[in-house]
Amino acid sequence: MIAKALSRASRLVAAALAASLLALLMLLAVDPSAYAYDKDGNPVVVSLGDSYSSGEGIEEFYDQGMDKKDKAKSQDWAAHRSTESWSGQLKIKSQDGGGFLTMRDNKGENWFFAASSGAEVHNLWDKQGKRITYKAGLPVMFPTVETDIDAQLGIFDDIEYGTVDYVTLTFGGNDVGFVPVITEAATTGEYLKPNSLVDKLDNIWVEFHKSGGVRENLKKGYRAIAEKAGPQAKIIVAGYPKLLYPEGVDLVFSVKEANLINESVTEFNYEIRTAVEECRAEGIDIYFVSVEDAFDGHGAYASDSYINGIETVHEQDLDCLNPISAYSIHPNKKGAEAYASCVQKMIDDIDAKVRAGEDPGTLMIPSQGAKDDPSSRDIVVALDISGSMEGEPLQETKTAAREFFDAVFDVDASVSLVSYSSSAFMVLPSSTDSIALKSAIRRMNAGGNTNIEDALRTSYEQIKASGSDKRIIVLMSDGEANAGLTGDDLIEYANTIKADGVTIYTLGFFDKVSSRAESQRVMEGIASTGCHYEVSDASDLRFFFGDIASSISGTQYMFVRIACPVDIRVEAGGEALDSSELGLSTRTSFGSLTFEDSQDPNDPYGVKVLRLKQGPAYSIEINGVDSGSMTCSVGLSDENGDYTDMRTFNDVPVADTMSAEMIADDSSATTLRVDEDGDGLYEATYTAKANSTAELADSTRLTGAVFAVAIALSALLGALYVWRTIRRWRRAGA
Amino acid sequence: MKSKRMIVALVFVLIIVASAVAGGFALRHFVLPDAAPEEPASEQPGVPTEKVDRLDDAAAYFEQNSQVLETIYAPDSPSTMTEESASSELRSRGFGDCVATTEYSMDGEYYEADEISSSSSSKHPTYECTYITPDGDAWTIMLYNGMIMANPIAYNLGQNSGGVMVIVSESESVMSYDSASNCFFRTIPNPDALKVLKVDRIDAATLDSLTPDRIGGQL
Repeated sequence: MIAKALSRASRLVAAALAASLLALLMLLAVDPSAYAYDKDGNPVVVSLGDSYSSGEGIEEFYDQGMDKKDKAKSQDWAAHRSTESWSGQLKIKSQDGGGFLTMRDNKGENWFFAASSGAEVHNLWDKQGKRITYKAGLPVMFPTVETDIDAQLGIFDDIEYGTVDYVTLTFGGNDVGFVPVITEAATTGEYLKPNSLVDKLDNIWVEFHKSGGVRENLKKGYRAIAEKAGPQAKIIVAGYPKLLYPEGVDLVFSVKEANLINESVTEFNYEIRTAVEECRAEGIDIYFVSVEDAFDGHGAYASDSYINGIETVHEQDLDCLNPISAYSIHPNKKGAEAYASCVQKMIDDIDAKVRAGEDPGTLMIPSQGAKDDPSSRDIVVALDISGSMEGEPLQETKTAAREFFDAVFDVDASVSLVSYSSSAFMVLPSSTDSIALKSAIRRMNAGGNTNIEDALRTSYEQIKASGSDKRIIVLMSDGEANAGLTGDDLIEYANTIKADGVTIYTLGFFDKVSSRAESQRVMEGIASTGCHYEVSDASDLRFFFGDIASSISGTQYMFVRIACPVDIRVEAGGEALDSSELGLSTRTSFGSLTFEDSQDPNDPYGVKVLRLKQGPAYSIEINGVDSGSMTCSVGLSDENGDYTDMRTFNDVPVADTMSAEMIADDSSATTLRVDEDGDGLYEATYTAKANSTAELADSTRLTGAVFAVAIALSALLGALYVWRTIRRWRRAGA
Repeated sequence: MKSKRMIVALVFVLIIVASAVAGGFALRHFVLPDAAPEEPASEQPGVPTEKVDRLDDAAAYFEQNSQVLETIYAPDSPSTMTEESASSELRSRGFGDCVATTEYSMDGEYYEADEISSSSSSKHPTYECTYITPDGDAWTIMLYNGMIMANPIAYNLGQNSGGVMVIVSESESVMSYDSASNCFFRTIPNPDALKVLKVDRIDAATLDSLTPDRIGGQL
């Protein structure tokens, strides 16, 4: 009895302690989604970073009007902080939501501007030395003044801890040395040193990824900012724009050089974004904003450029002896506006979420993470570098391939790289070194024909004897095979490889081929079931490479292939895939929609292919646009990513009034309900079980007919009964 | 007597045949200076097997954009300079105050640009420095395989409206360095690839007088 009482008492004490501890923790914890604001209810913003944040190249700089000697001592001028910087253009709502505060109008009060031209990440905590050389006197002299820009994190010492709402920044560009690399390329030229730029870019990435290198420093910087700013602060990291407009750079850079530089920026942005995501996973309230789309078509040397080209020295340059101005390859006024617009949108989205009591963290959709799949994979990526790939297709393919490597290295994989045109070349066999693979990608140039057979043969030779659990070939082509085996012979050859247990993914980009339907047929024939992907635009290549990487890494997909005169639409999580001209949408976070030409040249409607992440049940709306019949197949993948469950619907009648609903999920059967005349009632229901063709499981029309016959029979029987009764009455009367 | 004449005739025939063979051999192997190379780039002696594919890429580029006069595997070249000789060469031309750098080793490995030493006997395929004229015009001075060239940066970035980069050289040819194959290519560029402005001597005095306006006038 005493023991029981003691036990109950101890449980009560423990519960009380736990409750107190919880309450204490709740008191200590800060809601990361809340704002801080200053004592007047106004937001507080700190802008850190490099020249892209300081506004290098956009006059007027703060203190620009001072005397040369005096302004050399000005931190603002020596850091080239512009009155037109994008961070100064941001507008933040006040606490009551009633008014906006424009940052540049509140410098030193609500906006703290510490970004500095030339700053590297370590200048967050280290002073930044500046050497100012100007022209003076007669005869001409070049006096030099040395000054220090304060460590950027020092600005938080002027702000009450816990009151900062946003920290904005761009960082890393100077650490990797993009601008010097570009200016050097411009002053040497491709002709005299054809590989100089590639060598320099390779060196950048080695430095970037090495232990203690730029990537680690970036994360160290984000953590340091978070610590100084406090947990209530939202840190917004902006990326960099593609710098050059390749079609306009004929004198200073070659198109090849311009593409190489732009690819590297995209690669850099990817690395910054993933570093941000990693810090976010550590609990830092940090966001990445891409500016690439906003600058698309507006790189340096475009007719409507948002970025300065290579320029010779300006009067406001810090070093008048440097032949190349620091203004070179920096956003101009329009560029600053584009930057401001991108960051403003993120701030507005965060603000809307916070005011609605929602988690703004959902604005950051994480990249594909590692999958819990212990299988080893031996992957060969065979890339088409034929002449027709020159320009954007090759550039996008390179970007896509680099991201593909990062994605598949999340699981146990080794990757071989094959390039092919008139013949195939093993660029790098069986590597787990993504830096080496990316460097090899950088050196690929376009030229020659399309020999898919040699690509398959070289790829197969590489993995034939591999002991990995999964052997995979990813074959990308932009055209029909015109060297080696072609057509059915090529499909037959691919079949022998697949028969050996190798999975083949094909990615077709048939923008320039004369017979698209035939190219699709061959690539689909080469691919393992359900593993052919179709890309209609070069800019989509990376997304589909991403889908293949995701599938290889263990994400299960289902595909729905519909050939008939219909439009389709599927919605999930507020997003939609829609094939209709008005609502056309082909990519969402839950899947993709692609279009293939029909094998029948008289069929103008083609084939729609939905590829949906397996798991949830999707309701697919199907609406007829003409008369005909519908053939539809649904493929479900198993845990190995193989499409082992195929369900088919054949010859379903279609009219332009028809609407139907398919419930696509991984249950034991797939159903298709058809409203043939658009009256809102489903007249027919088809059901397809695993690996079978659908049957008409239920027909409302048949039921109706049976019902009508039954009524008619009842009426007849009733009439007979009435007739007999009348006869009986008559006989009784007689 | 008859057999004696026959022996003489036989010897005479043999001499003619031998002369013809030797003459043919000599003609086949004698190449005029500045003539096109007699063998494909990929058969260039000295180039290691692993660099042959890269050499083919570079050769294809230069064949498309120039007349190739010479392809030289860098480690086999007698003209590559030591840091000491490069410093001395630049100094003798009036560029002694410029900081000269190099960024490749003799086996074609790249490293970040490093300032050279005027007393070092290390050899490199390329050297560069920036020269600013008293008028403030910038030039990149290049010493590739012992050949000096100059890039008028101020002209190319400011006033060049021809759509093709201009390089100043002491001959009609220029020297390019391809690190992937570790080879030099001495070429006469096609006018749509690179314009060469020939001067008697590249030195500070010449470049000081070659203002952007004068360069434009001479092309």
